[in-house]
Amino acid sequence: MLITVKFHTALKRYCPQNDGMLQFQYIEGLTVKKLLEQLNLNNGAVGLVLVNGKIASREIQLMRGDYVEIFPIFGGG
Amino acid sequence: MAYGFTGKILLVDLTKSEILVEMPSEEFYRQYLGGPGIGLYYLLKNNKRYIDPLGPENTLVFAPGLLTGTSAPSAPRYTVLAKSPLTGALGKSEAGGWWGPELKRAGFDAVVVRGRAPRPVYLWIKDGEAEIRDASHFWGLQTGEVQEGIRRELGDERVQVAQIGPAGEKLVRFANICNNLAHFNGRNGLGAVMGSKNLRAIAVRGTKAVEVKDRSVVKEVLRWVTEQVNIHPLSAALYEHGTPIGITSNNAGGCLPTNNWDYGYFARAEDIGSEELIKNYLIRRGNCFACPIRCKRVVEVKDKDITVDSKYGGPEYEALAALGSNCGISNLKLIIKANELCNRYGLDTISLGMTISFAMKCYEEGIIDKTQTDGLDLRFGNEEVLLPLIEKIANREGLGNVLADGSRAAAARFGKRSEKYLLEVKGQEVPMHDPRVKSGLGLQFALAVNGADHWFAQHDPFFTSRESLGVQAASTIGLGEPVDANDLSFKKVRHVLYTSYLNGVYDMLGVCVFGYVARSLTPLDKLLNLVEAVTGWKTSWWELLKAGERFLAMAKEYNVRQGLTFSEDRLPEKFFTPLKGGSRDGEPGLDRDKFYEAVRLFYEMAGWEVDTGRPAKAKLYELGLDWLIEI
Repeated sequence: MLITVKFHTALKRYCPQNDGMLQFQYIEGLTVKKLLEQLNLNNGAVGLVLVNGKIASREIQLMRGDYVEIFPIFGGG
Repeated sequence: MAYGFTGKILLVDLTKSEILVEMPSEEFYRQYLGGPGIGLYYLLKNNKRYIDPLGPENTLVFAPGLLTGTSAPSAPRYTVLAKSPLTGALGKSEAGGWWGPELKRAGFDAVVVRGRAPRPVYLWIKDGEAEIRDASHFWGLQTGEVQEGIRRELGDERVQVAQIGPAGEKLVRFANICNNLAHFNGRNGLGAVMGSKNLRAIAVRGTKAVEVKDRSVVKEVLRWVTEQVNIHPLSAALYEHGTPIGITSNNAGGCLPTNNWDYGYFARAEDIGSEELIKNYLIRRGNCFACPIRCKRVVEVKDKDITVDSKYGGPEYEALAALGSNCGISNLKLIIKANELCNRYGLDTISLGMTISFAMKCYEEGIIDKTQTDGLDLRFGNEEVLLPLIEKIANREGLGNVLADGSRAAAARFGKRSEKYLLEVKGQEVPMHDPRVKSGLGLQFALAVNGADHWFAQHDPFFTSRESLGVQAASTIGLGEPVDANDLSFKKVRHVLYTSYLNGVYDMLGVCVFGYVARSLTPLDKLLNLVEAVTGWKTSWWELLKAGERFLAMAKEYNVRQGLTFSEDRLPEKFFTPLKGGSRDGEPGLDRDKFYEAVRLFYEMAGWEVDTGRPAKAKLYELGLDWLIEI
């Protein structure tokens, strides 16, 4: 089962695919933090991460078939 | 020789029709820098206690920052200050754009306005000279017509105009001041103060460059910013999406104000988000003087049912949320039109949207009915009412006349315990950021000297982990330790305190929060380089932050003199109740006891007395504000 990542708004520029969607093979022990590192997104650009629609901490272990959404950091608009 | 500042303050008495120039010493500038530092100096010197904000005795100051007008990047801002007719506290609001730099180029560091003109006037400032001119023929016209009219009358298309609209003339208590039709001193109702003085506009033209000690350093920093602007994640996002990016991010986080904050989730948020805006309405990205970021939106609509003129700019996140989700409205084209209408009339979109949503809530709860709404059906999401309500408020007609005094005054009029649906601090409606997901923002709302303000200090999410851009960027001023977004310990209090000094410095220098850390790219060491290069002073972050602290102590002292106390540093009850809807549904609100402990601790850290609300005598001595000590 694949893991799907959806890059929202300003984060789309970090996605290799134009549509902001990326699928890849599940890896044992993958956390949100490790996922962001793999995507070169441990640069402070990400604010919120949802896994299957729920707010996820960086330490959460990902499972097969998870749907991960990442949103840019925001504050003081 | 003065570098960075011009050394001249323009003093205008509209009652006496008198214009004077004051020339403070260099030491004065080193103490107060510019912007709100200079502004508060004149407010405290001139204003008696308990003045009427709409009376001639209210001093009104326009003050660009110390770096404003130089080619230092992202430093276009000026502050307008006066006693606020919305809050009764200090009114203080910044704007970018082009007016502040023009005033410096015209040879002045600030304009201090007193009195009241017997008839409508505008002030014309050109290259060190100033005159009061008749504005009777402009009274009642929209902002676009007046800007065009003034430029035509003065025969110069490059004249920069800071002005109020018809709403300011009618003393709407959340009327704003605009420059170049699309940049706003939005908050605190300072447009009504101009209106009360019969001052429609201040037109400025300057042709002399602001003197800078070491131009090469400024040029080098500008070059660095221009190179990095599309690489750094925050400035790149500001360019591409602007602040409207916050709509979908906050909605995903369950904290997008919806239906007068009853919910943190709006099902149709994507319809009013930045991607829809870009796809359908954006014609270009606008900027301010000497800013490579270009975060402003310029929109245009040329449809049969709605047209929107691009000269009025485009909506920020605040306007999209306040007039959109907060009122249950998902028609982006209509919100864009509402935003443009606010800009034509000169209305603050935050207070406007919040006052309308408050009336909608009262209507849905049966507190008011159609006999009080001029027959309007004020259900959340009713698109039919948005534009008529803006017209009514701007012209003070019917229900609009009640809402034109802000939501707190409307609650007093509606009665029936409607005040429980208010979301304001010191009478100013809260901006579109939820303290239940970031406690420091709650402290900002409660403690801000000018009522609920979302830029009193920096925002929590930029400081929550080792990777956070704020933690990396601000360790040199003692903010290198991550603090959880919901923390309410001494660590968070210290964080809000230090960054309130930092934001005070930003305003005094005229730099934009969207240009500098933690919300954007330019780091603190480069800002220090800019200050030294522009002024020729050898300075430090210690000296600058002390200036920020000085500004805050002056603001606090001003509020005490206008009758404010510790008890007004509070939050609306809503923020102590759980979030509803979306990804944070059911999560608890702020802990009331811990929150007010933190407010008290802030006072103690800042050197303010809880019983009187004023900065302690020793603090005033320390900051060189001994002239404020009353025996």
